[in-house]
Amino acid sequence: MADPPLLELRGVSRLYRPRRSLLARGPEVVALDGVSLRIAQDESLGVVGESGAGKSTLTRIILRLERPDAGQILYRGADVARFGPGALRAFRARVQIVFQDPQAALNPRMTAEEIVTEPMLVHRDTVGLDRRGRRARVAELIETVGLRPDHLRRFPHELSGGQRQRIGIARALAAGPELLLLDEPTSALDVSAQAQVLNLLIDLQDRLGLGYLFISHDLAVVRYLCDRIALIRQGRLVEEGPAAQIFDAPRTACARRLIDAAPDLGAPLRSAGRTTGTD
Amino acid sequence: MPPLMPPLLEIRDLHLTMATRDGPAQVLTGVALRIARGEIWGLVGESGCGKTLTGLSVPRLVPCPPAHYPAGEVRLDGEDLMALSERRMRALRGRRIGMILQDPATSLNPTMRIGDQLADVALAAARHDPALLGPGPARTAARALAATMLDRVGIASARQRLSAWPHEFSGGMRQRVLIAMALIGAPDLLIADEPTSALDVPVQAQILALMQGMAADRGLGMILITHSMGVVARACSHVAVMYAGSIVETGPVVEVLDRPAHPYTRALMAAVPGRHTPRGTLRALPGTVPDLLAAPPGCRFAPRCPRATPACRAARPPLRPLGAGHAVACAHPDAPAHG
Ligand SMILES: Nc1ncnc2c1ncn2[C@@H]1O[C@H](COP(=O)(O)OP(=O)(O)OP(=O)(O)O)[C@@H](O)[C@H]1O
Ligand SMILES: Nc1ncnc2c1ncn2[C@@H]1O[C@H](COP(=O)(O)OP(=O)(O)O)[C@@H](O)[C@H]1O
Ligand code: SF4
Ligand SMILES: [Mg+2]
Ligand SMILES: [Mg+2]
Repeated sequence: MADPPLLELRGVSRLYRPRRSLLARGPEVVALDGVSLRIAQDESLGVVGESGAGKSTLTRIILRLERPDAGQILYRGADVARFGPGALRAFRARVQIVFQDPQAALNPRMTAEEIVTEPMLVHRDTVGLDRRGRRARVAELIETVGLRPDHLRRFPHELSGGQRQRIGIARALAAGPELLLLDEPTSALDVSAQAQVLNLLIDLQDRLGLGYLFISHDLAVVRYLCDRIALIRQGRLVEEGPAAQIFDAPRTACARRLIDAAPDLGAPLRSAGRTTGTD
Repeated sequence: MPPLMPPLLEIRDLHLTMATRDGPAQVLTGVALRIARGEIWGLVGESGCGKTLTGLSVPRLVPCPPAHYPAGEVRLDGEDLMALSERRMRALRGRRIGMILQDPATSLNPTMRIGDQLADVALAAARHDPALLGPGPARTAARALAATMLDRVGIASARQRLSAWPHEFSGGMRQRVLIAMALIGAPDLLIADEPTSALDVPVQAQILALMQGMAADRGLGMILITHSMGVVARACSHVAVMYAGSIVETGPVVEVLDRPAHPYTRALMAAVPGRHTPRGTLRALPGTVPDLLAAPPGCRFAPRCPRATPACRAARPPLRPLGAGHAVACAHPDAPAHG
């Protein structure tokens, strides 16, 4: 029998009931509506969809920061909702997230070394390293993400955006994860830092066999990195399949609209639709 | 011949020095831009090249100290903004000059409903420009305008959403609120720092179309700071490429992106994945933006440039026109064939 996938979502739903005032609640917002997905080891699933579609909600549900109102999350075939404290701790070490804005995601009062060390302390029983072992692992991680040892002494504001995001990735790798949730990890970066981070993610996947759930609005970036694409609209999965198929032969109007709207440098520039000076 | 009108915005030889722990950093070294009404200028370059500080310098939002302007001019319709009193400058901000800041997380008040925040900006702008709200009770008109603007930036059921709190919106929705806030005062000049990078593609296209519409219909002039060459190609009429504190290539988008002449512009464009870039083959630029405390003399790009010669290191190349409004600051540019 084939191994179960690294992560599987079965019919996951999530509702929000925003407060209108102290007593009254407004109408329900369906952030996720029966979403089923699978991510295998060594595989990148790109998650795309409009703003407010539920992509970030998906990551919070997977991390168990919020509970689904319906549906199941299976990690290597085991129901995450039934994990005891030990299994849950191990799960939290195995699934890590990298956020969009490395500036906001890193504690400004911690050095890069403290930031990368922290998950090893939080997940001490899973990681099982002593002080010396942690130091060695930090040194290794900083090299893995292409930074120099002297970067470890710096505070986040003393690093460039691309360097900060590398620290964010090193932190996510520290506890030895199997799955990374990447919520727009390059949209705050310039094109050069973005290229570095994308190539780093590819290299890490080739070496460590990580699974990725990669959220981005930049379809060229998704296509560059991802094997499969899931398109979410208003909380619902509307199309899922191999990247090439979704890009070259989308089945739904929603996917076609998204792809047609993508600014594409590969195509020749058209002057149509461009404004020129009126003075 | 009609008398020569000053452009909407003119930045001349702007120098900015930043006092840092380790000494003065020359952050802007002679930035020059001329923006006419109706033009949308993309400002691109790696992070740390001075795009944000250039944008913030126009409405004078860079704190001095630590900043200091040893030279340069910023003129709006010919009026010297650097000489204005703080009171007059405050009156221009939000009304004639709209600004979308790069860091949206800190720009919305978490304890105020979305609609109230938008209406407050409209009311403040209407104090200088009563026509903005028309007749009738100002508060009601401001809320109606707030709903219209939310709708125009693509927030569904805009009227109901006026009473929402910022935390109930997704990241992209909050960003759109900020865009609505910058546009609600009907400014003449909009400076937008990375306004659409958190937005999905269709919404991004909608916002860019809204901005283009305002440029074409009302003569809104705009500086659009962005990392996305796709956004420049799609939305801008002109582009200025910045490297380490100055503009190294500038011109109409069709000229610059089709025939990039500066090695830096070419390298930036090569780092963007296209629709068919094979996995693992993207080329990041080698090296990093120089430390502005000890920037190399001559061309600041020389340490990373495959074409650098001793001549490049000896003197800083000035911006030289190539024709068709295209100009480049490089000793050995790719000569674009203009025909
Ligand atoms: N705490 C909350 N209270 C009320 N509604 C919420 C809350 N958090 C999220 N939502 C709503 O849930 C929906 C999904 O939000 P989510 O943040 O997952 O979107 P997203 O796909 O990540 O969007 P973006 O691309 O803009 O980041 C949106 O309609 C949002 O307004
Ligand atoms: N408040 C500040 N104090 C000191 N240096 C600063 C400050 N703000 C920006 N800088 C420096 O000025 C340079 C240009 O910054 P910025 O305009 O933010 O670049 P960009 O927007 O192109 O990324 C960078 O080297 C940055 O580190
Ligand atoms: S001036 Fe010389 S070093 Fe600078 S970009 Fe041109 S060729 Fe390269
Ligand atoms: Mg999100
Ligand atoms: Mg900036």
